[in-house]
Amino acid sequence: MFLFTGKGGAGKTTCAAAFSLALAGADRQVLLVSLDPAHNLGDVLDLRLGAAPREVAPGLFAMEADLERVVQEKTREARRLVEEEYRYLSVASLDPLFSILGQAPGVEEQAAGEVLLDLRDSCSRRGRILVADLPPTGQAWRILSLPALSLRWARSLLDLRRKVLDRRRTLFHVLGEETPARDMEGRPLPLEEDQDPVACRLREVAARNEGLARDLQDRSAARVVGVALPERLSLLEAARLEDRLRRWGIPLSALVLNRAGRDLSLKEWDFPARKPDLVLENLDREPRGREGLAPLGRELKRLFLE
Amino acid sequence: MGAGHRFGRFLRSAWGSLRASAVPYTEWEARELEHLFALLALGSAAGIPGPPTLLSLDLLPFLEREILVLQAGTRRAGDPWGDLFSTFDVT
Repeated sequence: MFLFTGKGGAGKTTCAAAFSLALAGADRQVLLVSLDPAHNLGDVLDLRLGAAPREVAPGLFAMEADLERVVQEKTREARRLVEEEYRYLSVASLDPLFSILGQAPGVEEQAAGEVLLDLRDSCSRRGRILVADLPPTGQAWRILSLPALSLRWARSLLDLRRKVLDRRRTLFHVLGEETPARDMEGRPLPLEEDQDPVACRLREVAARNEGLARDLQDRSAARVVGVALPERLSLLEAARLEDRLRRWGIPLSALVLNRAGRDLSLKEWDFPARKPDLVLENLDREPRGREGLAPLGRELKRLFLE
Repeated sequence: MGAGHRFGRFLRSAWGSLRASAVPYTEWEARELEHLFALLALGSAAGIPGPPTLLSLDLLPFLEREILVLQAGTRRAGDPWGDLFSTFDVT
């Protein structure tokens, strides 16, 4: 898995697209996804893309995730389950809650995290390399820290749930059938973790996020690539990206300096982060389409695969 | 009545008494833990730091009881001393 991010306009989409084309050209099966709500992957490839993967070159599938739709679908699914499961509270009475949850700040980054989880699983089943064009730095580090954060929450809530189940079991052992741990219809509440739908769901969430959180910390499974321009602000942001990711144990695998031009003397630049792993001259400021992206792709492929 | 029999009766009575005082406390503890669980799981809806919102949305369909416990807790919040005294049977 390769994940490209950087300051807005640094060329992360261009690099992700060029690299994906080069991988597909080397007989790899690749899925290229844009997780930026302000997509321009289709513009770079000179193609119209949708939320479903489309084969844009032999072996290369590309898509622009519809994050708003992901949130809507998750809300709709939760509403359907609430209608099925709830006996006393009506869906209508929970409308304000759905509205808060569906429009909460940061929910689009979380939707991007969900898409990443799904695509990681599907790519691993199909033997595809996943290349993600992430949003700019601030949103990207929130997406990348999400699996570890969700894992922490799921584990903490599961610990608390186990304590609830433990107290219920204590009451059952002391009082037997007279236990007060009953639902509104008088049926005994689940005592064991495997019978408790909340604990089961938390275990599923933890297992799902644990895999991605582990991959993101492992350079052989996932590579986060920072793309920066030879400008002070862009390089400072790359340094912050590396620092933020380090807090979650995620290494920045490579820093690519884009549009460096021919006359750049690296000594002239003050690198607040580490020195770039790859300097792209990229004289054509806006390469597009398969032909235009090919030279960039070759250099990126050399950095990562050779 | 032998000493053994009397000792047995004493133990049964002590157990009954301990059980009578432990049960309300355990009930109270179970309810408060459920309350805490609901507050944490649905924190983002209640304005306190909570798990990622989509995780709350994932759990919501299974939390009807917890929401009812929260609502009951809100009603009891007006009389916390009454709630505490009734739990420990203070009259």
